[in-house]
Amino acid sequence: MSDVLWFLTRSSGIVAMILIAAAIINGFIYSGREGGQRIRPEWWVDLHRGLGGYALIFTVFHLLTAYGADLGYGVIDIIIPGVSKQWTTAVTLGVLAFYAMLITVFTTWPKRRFRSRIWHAIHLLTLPATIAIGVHGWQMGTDSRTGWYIALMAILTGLVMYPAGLRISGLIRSRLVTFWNA
Amino acid sequence: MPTPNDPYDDIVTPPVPDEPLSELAAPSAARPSELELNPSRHNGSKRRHAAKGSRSAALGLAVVSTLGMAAYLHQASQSSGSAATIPSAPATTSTKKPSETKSMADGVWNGDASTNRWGLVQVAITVSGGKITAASAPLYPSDDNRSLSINRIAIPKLVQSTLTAQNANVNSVSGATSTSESYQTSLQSAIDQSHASS
Repeated sequence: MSDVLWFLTRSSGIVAMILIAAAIINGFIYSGREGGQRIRPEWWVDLHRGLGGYALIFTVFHLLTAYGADLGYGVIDIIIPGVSKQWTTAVTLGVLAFYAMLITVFTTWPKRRFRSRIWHAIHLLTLPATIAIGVHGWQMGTDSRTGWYIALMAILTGLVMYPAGLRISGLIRSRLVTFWNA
Repeated sequence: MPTPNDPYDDIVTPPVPDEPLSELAAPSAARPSELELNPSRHNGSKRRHAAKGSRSAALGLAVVSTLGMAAYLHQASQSSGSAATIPSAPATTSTKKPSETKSMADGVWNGDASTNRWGLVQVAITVSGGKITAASAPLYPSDDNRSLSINRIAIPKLVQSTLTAQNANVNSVSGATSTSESYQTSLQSAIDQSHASS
């Protein structure tokens, strides 16, 4: 049984990472207005929320299976950052990223309760969290040195960076327009 | 206060003017409900998802990927284990019953490394006065965190069992079957070497 949980731990962690990347790509495409005219904005937003929620669910599943697989981690290790004696840095990054995801997802539902700037700042926690997840997976992941994993990470990074670049360039462009019009 | 160029303004419902949280929480006749602001968001009492199909597809794909990848990783781990061709003790020696009558030569003896699907196990024994006085596993699967966790617990138990049994019939450690089997094979190899030198 613990073997099954162990393989599920590895696969669910990777799938959670893919879902996070997909949510980020979706968010950048939507917020950069790069989605075209044919698809309604509501579709992008709804899918973005769905992907974020699923990523969180798969991350919880990843944690539960890791605990069930008897890897030597206690509940405290996966709840309190910096406590784990094994892979302390990697586990801490994973735990912090998980909390960042929790905060991001659960502040999205009552978004209207927050000022836009505050909510936006909270929402952008996802970006450092994603980097932390990448480091966590690279350091701890059993498969992280395999060719297919490296290829997958390269593809995901490229897929995230492209809309991120579009978004950043769009922001710079709009700031410049605002500046010159002022 | 939302900024004019804030791209996230329209992610959810139309912007709400800055109000104290208590006012936002309390129903207000002056403030239109979300349904009034955007009727398309609701269908009766159930919330309508604009990307319901895509969300379902994403969830289904994620579940299938998780299960499929787990199966692939399981298969890959078995393949890599059986494909390993590190020389280990010949079958005839590894299965040989320990000879109680033959004495062991004093010294430090390294058994042949034995492979299993998780990696290699090698046992070293110290023989003094014809008895095994110390045992260790200089090599054991530790490439991944799980192997490390299991073997950190299993190896000391196997070593203790070796010192007690004084032969290769050591008790397998529950949850570390592969390591136990490889340990026994390598231990038998080390014992055979000490016998051969006596």
